[in-house]
Amino acid sequence: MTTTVTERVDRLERMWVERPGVLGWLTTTDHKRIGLLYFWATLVFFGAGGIEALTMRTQLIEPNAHLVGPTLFNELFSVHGMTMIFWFIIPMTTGAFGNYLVPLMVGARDLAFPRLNALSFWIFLASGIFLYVGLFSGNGPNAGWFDYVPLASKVFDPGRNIEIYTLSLILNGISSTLTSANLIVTIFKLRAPGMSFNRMPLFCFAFLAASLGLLFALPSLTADLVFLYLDRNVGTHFFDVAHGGSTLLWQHLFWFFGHPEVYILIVPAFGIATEIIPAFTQRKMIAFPLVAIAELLVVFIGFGVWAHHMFATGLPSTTLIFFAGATAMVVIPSTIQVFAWSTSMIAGRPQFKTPLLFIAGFIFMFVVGGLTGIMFLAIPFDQQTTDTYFVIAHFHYIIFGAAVFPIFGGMYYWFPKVTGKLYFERPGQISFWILMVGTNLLFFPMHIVGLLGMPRRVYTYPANMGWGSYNLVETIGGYITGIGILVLFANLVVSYFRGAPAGHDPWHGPTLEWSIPSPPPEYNFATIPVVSSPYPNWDHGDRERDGKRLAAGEDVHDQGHQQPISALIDGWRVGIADMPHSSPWPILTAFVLCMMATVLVVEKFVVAGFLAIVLLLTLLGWHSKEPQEQ
Amino acid sequence: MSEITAETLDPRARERFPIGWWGAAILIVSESVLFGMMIGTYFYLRFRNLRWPPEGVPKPHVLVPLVVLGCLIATAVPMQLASIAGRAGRLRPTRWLLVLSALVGAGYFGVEVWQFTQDLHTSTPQRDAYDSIYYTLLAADHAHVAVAVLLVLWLLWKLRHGFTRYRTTALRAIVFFWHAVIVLTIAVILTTLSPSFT
Amino acid sequence: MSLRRLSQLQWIGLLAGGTIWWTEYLAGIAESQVRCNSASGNWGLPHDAIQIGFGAFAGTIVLVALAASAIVFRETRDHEEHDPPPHGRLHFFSAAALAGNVIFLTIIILTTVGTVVDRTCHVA
Repeated sequence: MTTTVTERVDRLERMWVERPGVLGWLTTTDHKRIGLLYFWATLVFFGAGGIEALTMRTQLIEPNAHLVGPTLFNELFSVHGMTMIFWFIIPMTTGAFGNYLVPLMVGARDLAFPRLNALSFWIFLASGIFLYVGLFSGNGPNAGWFDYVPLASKVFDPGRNIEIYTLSLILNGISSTLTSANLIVTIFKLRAPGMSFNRMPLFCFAFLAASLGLLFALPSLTADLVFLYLDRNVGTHFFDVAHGGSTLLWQHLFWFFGHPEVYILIVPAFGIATEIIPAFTQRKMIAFPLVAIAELLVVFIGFGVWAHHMFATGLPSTTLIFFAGATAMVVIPSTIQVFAWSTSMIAGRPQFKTPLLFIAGFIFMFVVGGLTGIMFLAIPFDQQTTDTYFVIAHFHYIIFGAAVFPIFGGMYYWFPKVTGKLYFERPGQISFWILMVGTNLLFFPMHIVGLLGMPRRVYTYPANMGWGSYNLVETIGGYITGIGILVLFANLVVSYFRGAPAGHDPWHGPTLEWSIPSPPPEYNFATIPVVSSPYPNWDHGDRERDGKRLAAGEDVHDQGHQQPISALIDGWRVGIADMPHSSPWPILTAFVLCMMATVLVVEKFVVAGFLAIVLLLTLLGWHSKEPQEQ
Repeated sequence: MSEITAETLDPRARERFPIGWWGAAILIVSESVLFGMMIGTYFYLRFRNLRWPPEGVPKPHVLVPLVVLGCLIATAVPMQLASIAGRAGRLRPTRWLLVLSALVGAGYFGVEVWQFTQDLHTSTPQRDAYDSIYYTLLAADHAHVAVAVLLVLWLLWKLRHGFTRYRTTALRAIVFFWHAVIVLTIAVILTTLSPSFT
Repeated sequence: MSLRRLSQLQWIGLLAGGTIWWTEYLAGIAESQVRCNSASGNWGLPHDAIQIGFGAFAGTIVLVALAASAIVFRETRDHEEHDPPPHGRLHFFSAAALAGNVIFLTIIILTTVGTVVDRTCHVA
C-alpha cells in the first residue's frame, strides 16, 4: 500500500506537533521555540542593561552631577557589564541565533540534546531573575564585572552583593556550558548527508568556535567563583595574602576565562556576517578555508593572551612579553576575515539593504576597535591607559560594533524566515544610520577623554579637568543610540503585524533554512536534504533531487520523532535516532538549581545539600523514559 | 553534482561513537579543565609560599591514599570489560563487573571520606591557603567519584530489564566517565600528596 | 601517495602545530616566572638557552606540520575546497593548516626573541 507525500508530511506534522498554550511553551524542547524564548528574554535584559547605561551617561553628562550616588553607580556599571555580556550577547548569539539556526543550517530537525537545550534556557532565565532580584533588593554586584579581589572580599564588600555576583554567574555558566555542548555535538553529529567539514556553512564554523571556547573557558571562571564564594562564606584563604593566598590568582583565573569570552562574544557575530555578505552580494565568500580556520584560530590563540589584561599588575616584563607576542598575532585571523569580507563585498554585486548596511557598519567599527586593541599590546602604552576611558572606548567599539551590529543585521536578515513577513526597508535603513551616528558620538570621544586621563568607573568628575564637553557629547550619543534601538524594534514589531508575506526565500539566501517555508515547520525538513557545498540553497540540482525524493517518500523518517545521525568528519549517514519531545523535567530541574543558588546566598548549606538530593531525584525522573528503539 | 545520496551508508562508517557518548565526552572535557584550573591553582599557590605545607601543618599521609588509589585504578579493568561485554549483549557478566566496580568505588569513596575527616582534626580549610586548596581539590574529586558510583548504580537498576540501544550507549558513556574520573583522581591525589614526595 | 598517508599528514598538519605552540607557550611562561622568582632565580639555570631551546624545538615541530600540510595541499591541488570528501576535505584542511601553522611559528619566534632580549630578572 503506497502512501502519498501529503499523508507522509501529515504524519510528520502530527509526530512533531507542539503542545498548545502556555504549557506547550513551558515544556517545549523544539530548538526554534527555545531560540525565540532566548530572543525575548535577552531583549528584556538588553533593555535593562541599556537603562543602566543611560542612567550612568546621564549622571556623567556634566561635572559633579547628583542623579545617582557612588554606591548605586558601582552597582550600575557592574550590573551593566554583566548584563550586556552574560545576559545579552552570549545568550542572544548562542542561545537565540545558534539554537534557531544551527540545526536548520546543518540540515537537522533539532539540536542533539533537545531537553538539555530547554534546561539551558530555564537556568539562564533563572540566573537573570536571580541577578535582578539581587539588584532590586539593594544587593546588586558592585565591584565591577570582573570583580577583583581584595575589593570583592568579605572585608571590603561585606554585604550579599558578591554572593549575587558569584551565584548568578555560576548558574549562567552552567547554562552556557550546556548550550555549547549541545551546539558542538549537533555540528559534529547531526549534519546532513554530504556535509563534510569542507561543505559546512561558515556560520556553523563560527558557532563551533564559540562553543568550543565556552566549553574550555567557563570552568576557569567557575573555579574562580567557587574560590571566592568559599573565601567569603566558609573562611578559606585562596585570595588572602596574609594566609598564603594570592590576589593575582583571581585575575589569572578570571582572565583565562575572560579573554576567550570576548572572542566568544564576537565570533558568532562574524558568523552572522559571513552569511549576510554572500546573500546580499550573491557571491560565495572569498578564501573559504582561511575564513573557516580564522574563526577557530581567533578563539584558540585567544586562550593564550589572558595576561594582557594584567600588564599593570607588576608581573615581570619577561613574562608579559609572551602575552604581547600572542596578542600581536591574534589580530591576524581577524584581519584575514576583514579582508575576506571586504573583498567579497567589492567583488560581488552588493545590495545595501538593511542587513548588509549593519555588516558594513560592523566592519568599520570592528576595524576602529581592533586598531586601538593593537595599541594595547604595547606594554608601556597599556600601562598608561589601563583603567581609563580609552579602554572603555576600545571594547565598546568592539562589543557594540563587532557583536551588536551583526546581531541587529541578523535580526533583519532572518526576520522573514522566523516570522514569514518582510520588514519595512526604509525604517530599517534609518535605524541603521541613527545607530551609526549615535554609537560613534557615544564611544569615539571616550578615546580622547581617556587619553586626557579620565578614569573608568567614576561616578562623577571635577569641573576643571576639561572632560565635561566630551562627556556631554557622549551622553547625547547615548540617547541617540537609544532612539536608534527603539526605531529598530518598533520597525520589527510593526513589520510583524503589517509586513508583506515573505515566502520561502526573499533574499535568494545561500543556506538550507531558505529552502523551507517561513516560518519553518516543527520538523524543519520534510525529507532530509543532501548537500554538496556550504551554499546548499544555491545548488538547485540538489534541491530538485530533494523534491524528487520527497515525492517518492524517501528519507522522510515519520515513524517517530526521528533524526538522522552522521559521522564526524565527512557527514556520512550512520544511523537514525529518536529524539525527545516536550518534557516538564528541564524547567523543574532549573527550578531546583535556582533554589540551591538562593539558599547558598544566605549560607544555608544543609538546605542546599537537601536540594542537591532533590536535584538527583529530578534527574532520575528525567531519565525514566527511554527513547524508542530504531 | 553530488556523489553522496541520502541512501549512502558508507560501509566503513559505523556509529563508533553515539551522541550519548559525545555528551559524556563534552562533560569530561569541561570537568577536566575545571580540575586543571584547580591543580594549576595548587601549584601557583605552592610556588608563592616559602613553606608548603606551612608551619604546623603535617605533610599528607601517603600510604593509605596511594593504596586505595591503586584499588580505584584497578577498577578500570572490570569497567572496560563490562563495556565490551555490554556491546556483545552479555547481560550477566556486564552486571557482575559493574557491581564489582561499584563496590570498589564505593569503598574508595568511604576510605577517602574517613581520611578527609581525620585530616580535619589536624587542620581545617580555614587555616591557610594550603589547607584551602588541599581540601577543596579533594572534596571536588571525591564528589566526582561519588557521582560515578551513583551512575553505575542507576545503570544497574536500568539493566534489570536487559539491554536496549539506549542502555548500551549509557553503559559506554558511564564507563568513559569512570575512566576519566580515575585519571582525574590520579592527578588530584598526586598533586595533594606532592609535598610528601619532595 | 596513498589516501591513508595523506590522511595522516593532514592530521599532523592540522593538530601538531597548535599543540606544540600551546605547550611551548606555557613552558616558556613558566620558565620566565622561574627566572624571576627570588628563590629559583638563583639556581644558576641557563635561562636564555632554555627559552631558545623551547622555541627551537617547538619551531621545528611547527615546520614539520607546515611541511605536512604543504604536501597534502600540493597532492590535492586538483581538487577544490568544496569537492566531495575525502580529497576535497583534505585540500580544505591542508589550506587551513598552512595558515594556522604560519601564525603559530610567528608567535614562537616573537615570544622567544622577546623573552631573551628582555633583560628583566637576568642575574648580572
